[in-house]
Amino acid sequence: MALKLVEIKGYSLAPIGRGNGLRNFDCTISEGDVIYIEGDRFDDSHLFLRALAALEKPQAGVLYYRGEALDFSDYRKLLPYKRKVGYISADATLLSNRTIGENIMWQRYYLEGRKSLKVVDEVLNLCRIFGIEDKLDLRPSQVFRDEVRAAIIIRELIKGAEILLVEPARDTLSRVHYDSAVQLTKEFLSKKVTAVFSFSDEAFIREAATKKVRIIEGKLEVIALK
Amino acid sequence: MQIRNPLVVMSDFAGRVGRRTIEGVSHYLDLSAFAWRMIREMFRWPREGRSLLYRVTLEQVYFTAVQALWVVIPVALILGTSLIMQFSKVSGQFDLGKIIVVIIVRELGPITTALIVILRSATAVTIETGYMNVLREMETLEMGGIDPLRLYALPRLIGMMTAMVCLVFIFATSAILGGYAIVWMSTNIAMQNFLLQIAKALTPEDYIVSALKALFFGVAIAVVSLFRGFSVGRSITEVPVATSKGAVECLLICMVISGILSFLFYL
Repeated sequence: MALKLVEIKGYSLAPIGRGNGLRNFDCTISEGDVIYIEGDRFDDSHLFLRALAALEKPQAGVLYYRGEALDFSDYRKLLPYKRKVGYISADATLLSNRTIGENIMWQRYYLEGRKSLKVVDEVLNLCRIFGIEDKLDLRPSQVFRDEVRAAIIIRELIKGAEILLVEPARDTLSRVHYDSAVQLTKEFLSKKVTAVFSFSDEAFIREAATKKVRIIEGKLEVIALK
Repeated sequence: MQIRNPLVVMSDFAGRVGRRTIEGVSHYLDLSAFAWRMIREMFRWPREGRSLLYRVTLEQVYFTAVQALWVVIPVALILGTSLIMQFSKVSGQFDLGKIIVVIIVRELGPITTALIVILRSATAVTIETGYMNVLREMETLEMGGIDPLRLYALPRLIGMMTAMVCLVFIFATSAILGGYAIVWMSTNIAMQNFLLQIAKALTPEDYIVSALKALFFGVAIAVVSLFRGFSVGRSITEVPVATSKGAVECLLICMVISGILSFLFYL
């Protein structure tokens, strides 16, 4: 039996945007699960992803990571968990006062204690796939949205995350880059990484999804697919 | 015209005063807590991310100190020249060296430098922090497992403290030596033994007070500007309000610190 990675019990979240919020739900995510989110409102699906990333403080309930309850009383206690989460969402951003290359390498070099933010070869290959290898010295405001999104995807893929949270990319990624992103995500998932995604790519859902989370009018239910 | 019940008017007024007082006290308590947290963080110094921390701190020193030199030195020269020129004419009645030390080294030097740093760097830090909050860039740092207080705020605190101490020293030196050189070269005012008078007038207390003021100003400017920036919510219109309030607050706190330190040392 797969190990429980994230377990949510009795969770309630206040609404954001034009959503209904999420009321008193339970959800378990095990190692290797690939979960597809289907909802009546984008804001609620987005809220669920933010909750999984520990970016939203619950009104009630507990989130367990590998059996340990997360403590929301101090944001610093959540940092070790957040480090394990790859967050490719609609509201994920780059640091505007750093170059694209520095943004991609920032976390890795912070943890490894290096001074230089030079992009290493392995990452440069990913940058080539998305066509941003010649934009690494530019700041996010100097490149297209498509390229910012690509940099975010690369940053999160090289993070060594245990859970990958992915939101619609098609509106901000060109066709070529979208296919590359899907292909990379598949390769990533083949390493038995857990993923929760909300983009509606039929082929990808059929091939990869093991569970479905349905959110209707603030009520969340988990449906097993495989 | 309807006349309001005096009791209601009084009660409204008392309520307003009470609310403003509570808000003010609460704001300064929050500010103190934030300052305490930052100072504690400065002494914690864990291994993780230390290299990047050094790098960002150096960048901050460069932005706040090195890039400010082209403003600080001319202002110091103008102030130094005009003070030396005017006071040298009445030097028969006063000790010129002592007057210049009191005015430039102890009082005007630190507060003028603080004003320049507030105008150049504090506003920039509040705007940058505010925008990063609005654009969720602080969340991005957190999602990387990086504490924004450590990698973003701490280098700005250390950078501003270091920059303030260096700039106050440069300001005093430029104002006294540069001012003296300009007066000596461009006027016929008798300036016998000016440098000797300055050397005699300078006491260890002057150095200590000047350095302490620079250090405390650096802490106050960094803490207030960061706190105001972090207080910005999700709306971009909050950024200019926070910047303006932060700049005024920085100046007021610096003046209070300057007054307290002068009072304690020269009473």
